[in-house]
Amino acid sequence: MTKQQKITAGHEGHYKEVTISLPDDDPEVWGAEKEYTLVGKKRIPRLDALEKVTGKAKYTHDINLPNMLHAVLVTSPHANARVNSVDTSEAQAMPGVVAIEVIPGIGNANYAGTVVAVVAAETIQQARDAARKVKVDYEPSSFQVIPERPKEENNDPPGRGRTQSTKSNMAGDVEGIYAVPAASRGDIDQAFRQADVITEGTYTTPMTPHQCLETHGSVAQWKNNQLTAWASTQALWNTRGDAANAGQVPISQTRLICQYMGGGFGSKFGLENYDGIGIQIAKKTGRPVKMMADRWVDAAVCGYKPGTIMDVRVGAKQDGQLTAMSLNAYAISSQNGSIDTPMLDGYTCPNVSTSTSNLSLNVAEPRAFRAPGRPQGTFALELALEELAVNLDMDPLDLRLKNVSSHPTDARESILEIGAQRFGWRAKFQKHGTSPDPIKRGIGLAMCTWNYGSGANTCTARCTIHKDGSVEVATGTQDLGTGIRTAMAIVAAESLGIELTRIHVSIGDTDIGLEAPVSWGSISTGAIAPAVRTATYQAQRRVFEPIAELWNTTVDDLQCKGEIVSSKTDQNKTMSWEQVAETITGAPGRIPGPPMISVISSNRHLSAAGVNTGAQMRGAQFAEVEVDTVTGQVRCTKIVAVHECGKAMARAQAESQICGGVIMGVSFALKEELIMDPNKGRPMNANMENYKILGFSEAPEIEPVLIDLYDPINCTCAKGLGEPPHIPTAAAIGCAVYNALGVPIRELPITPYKVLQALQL
Amino acid sequence: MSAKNGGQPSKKKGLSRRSFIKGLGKGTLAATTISTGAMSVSPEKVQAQPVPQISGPGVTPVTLIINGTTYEINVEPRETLLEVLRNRLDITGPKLVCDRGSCGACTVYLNGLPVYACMTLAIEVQTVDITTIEALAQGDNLHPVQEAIVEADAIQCGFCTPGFAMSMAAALERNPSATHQEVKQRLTGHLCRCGTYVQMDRAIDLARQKMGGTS
Repeated sequence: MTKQQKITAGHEGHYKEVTISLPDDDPEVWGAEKEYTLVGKKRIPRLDALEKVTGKAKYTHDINLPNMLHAVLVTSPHANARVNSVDTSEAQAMPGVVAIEVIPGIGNANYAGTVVAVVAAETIQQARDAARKVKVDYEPSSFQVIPERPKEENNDPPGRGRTQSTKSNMAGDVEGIYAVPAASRGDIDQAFRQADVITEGTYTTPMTPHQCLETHGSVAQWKNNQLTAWASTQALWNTRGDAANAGQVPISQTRLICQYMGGGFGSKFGLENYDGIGIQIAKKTGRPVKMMADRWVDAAVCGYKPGTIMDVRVGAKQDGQLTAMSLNAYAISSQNGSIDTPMLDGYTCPNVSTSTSNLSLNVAEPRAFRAPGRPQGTFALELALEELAVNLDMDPLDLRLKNVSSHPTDARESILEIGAQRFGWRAKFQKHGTSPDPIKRGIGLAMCTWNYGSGANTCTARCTIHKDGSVEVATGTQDLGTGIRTAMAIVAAESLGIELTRIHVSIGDTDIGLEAPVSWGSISTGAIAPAVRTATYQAQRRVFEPIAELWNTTVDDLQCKGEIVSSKTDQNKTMSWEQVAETITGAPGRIPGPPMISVISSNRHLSAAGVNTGAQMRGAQFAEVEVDTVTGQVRCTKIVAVHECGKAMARAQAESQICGGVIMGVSFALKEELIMDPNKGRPMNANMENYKILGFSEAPEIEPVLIDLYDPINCTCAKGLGEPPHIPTAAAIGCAVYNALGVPIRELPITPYKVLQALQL
Repeated sequence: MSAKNGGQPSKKKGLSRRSFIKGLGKGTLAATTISTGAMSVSPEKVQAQPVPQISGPGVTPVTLIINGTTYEINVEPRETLLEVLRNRLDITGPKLVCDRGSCGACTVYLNGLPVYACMTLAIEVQTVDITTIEALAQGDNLHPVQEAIVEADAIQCGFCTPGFAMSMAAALERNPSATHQEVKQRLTGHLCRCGTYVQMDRAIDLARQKMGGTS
């Protein structure tokens, strides 16, 4: 059985009435017509703020158990070396040493930092002492840690000779997070021949480690052949599987806990190989083991954003209409590095060709980093478009406006217009290179498109309503610092029509037993919010049943607003939420059950013909910079960041997320770079003193602007926001620096040295 | 060598450096082995010596006054205050992040002054009052700075938050009418990877209002 619902979809100035059909026991979709009390409205302090600000929150790194061993790593100092033998005899005899395990099957160390052995001792100091006494016989051979373009350049048109797939339209097919296949549409060669103006250039970005404040690691404890592990992870369930596998115990006998974690950004999707050794040592010794990476290992071994070398060509007609765009690029990493270009989905351009391959170095494996491949691809494309605008003598804003389409649930044109207005673009824009010395000012903008985050992934949530009117909501997700606990509570309180203080949220523990997606691709909120909405809605309907009977009406006729349950058709029939909840224990004439009602339900992905634009999330950022022509220092002074995440569930936390993504983007644009020693093959700044991340006093003023966009892809219209704000920042700053200097700097980070070099041109 | 060899000899009793070397026998020891000999071969003789003593390399008893509680524990002289707090006393509010005095996540107070606990040896701070984030709130009553950080949502993953709270509170306790820029200056030794700086600016304003210095 299905029901029909009319909702207002789209965004301000572009609303559209649509009818969607829903299964009978699904909640109605929250559209623009709804009067919201909490969702997307009030600034609500995050639920776990108290624990975090008082130091009480227990992260994996803070877990201390009785009799616990501390483990440290023995890592290869060589970038490429055969491991002939490992002699642990001297180390075994060191004070406090309990166990030393060599990584099974270690044949070759392929990068500096390759983990060779794990040492567990009574104290961390004793473990470090012993680790230094592990004698590894290495046979070093040649290595490469500095990227060099292959000597024989491929003169073929972009795309030829490499794996290639064709897409026929703009809609972003979700093809997995890492895999970014070569893709094309139209006839690229013909299109370039017919273009009036062509701009081309090579753009590069560095390898940048995640530098999560909490390093990667875990704590393992065995009791009665059951494993309990704590891990700093973005993927509770995958990590549980890894732990069970390492401990050789059924998954069902393994519990994984991650109540708090100190940042992930794409680097924490499972256990590290050495975590597995820690679990095995814990099993063998019967003692808990804490295995946390130190800062050097975290920065050198535990993932980074792949570097890139990107050749970009863009062609347009004299009026600015894009006719052709091509990307021919190398990702720089050990293997499988990817570049995700917005060429296919960012702009309306009929002819596109992209291809990337990986340039392999003796470095650790790359990992997803806040929109894998997208910030790099966006930097290259947007700076190329900026150069095209200059060649066309066009305002860069007009060039972008010319090449985006408008649609109720594709707010790109509105996003550009709103952002330009908030930023004061028209008043501020001056032609490139016209700003006077010694402090040159410039402005730039960049678009953001991201193809995931739609909530197409399954999430199961539980709502338990107790006889005192208090409510528990739970799912097996984890909080990366995004504020998902807060978003869940807000959705539950809005859905039930009760006070936020009645809601308790449980996450971060596999004992909850409810599946939730991996926190990647910005998919969590878009899956969790509708699951919580559905579970709370269905639980409340069960609570309403005896009341409907009492009032001689139907459950559909009942509603709860401001903690008052009433009949929609008879205003005289009202009861307080607490009174209604009391009936759970046993309404008159009913058999008493347990004093609670508990409902488990999943999200549902909806589609409405002619409305949904798929999974995409859009945004644009506008940057202002000051460049000191004497020192070469670039200061980003202001960013206006306009984003849509469907309907924002927790507004304050969504705004924080935007600002955080921008700050990480400013850091990527101006500061960050893992520097490899070409002679020794080791990273020279795998730490926090020489690897520079943006500091407090360097952060720009940021104005986050959230556009509410009602796209009925689920019953809350929620989409994700974790990654998009990080995508266009470096690109917008790159364009602004070009605007200030009149010379594009095509290599990130934009350091004083590069600025001074550019000024000499 | 001499400093390691037992410090200043007492004139009245105990061991002079000369008599100690003699005692080891016949001048057969090379100079380089004497210092280790002093610590490992004749511990009872070293103990017989008055202050100052050599501590370590093994564990040594220390007395630490943390959040008003006195702890008498054994630590290695090389253990940082942060390691002792986190690993031996389960006081885990101060976070280990950079371990090199770069990020501020481990900030604690020594007699009210904020320091990096990862750059401080535990044995150095036996006579001072040590305060950690756990004692910044008075029971259930948050420090105004903590309230401000919560209200401004200047928290994401929360790993840097204790450090920021400690330094902001120290700045405003010292000078409640400090300007925004003065408070911010005292927070520049802190790094946040999630990017809460914009909200932290707002938290400074709120905290200044709460503590009276709204000028």
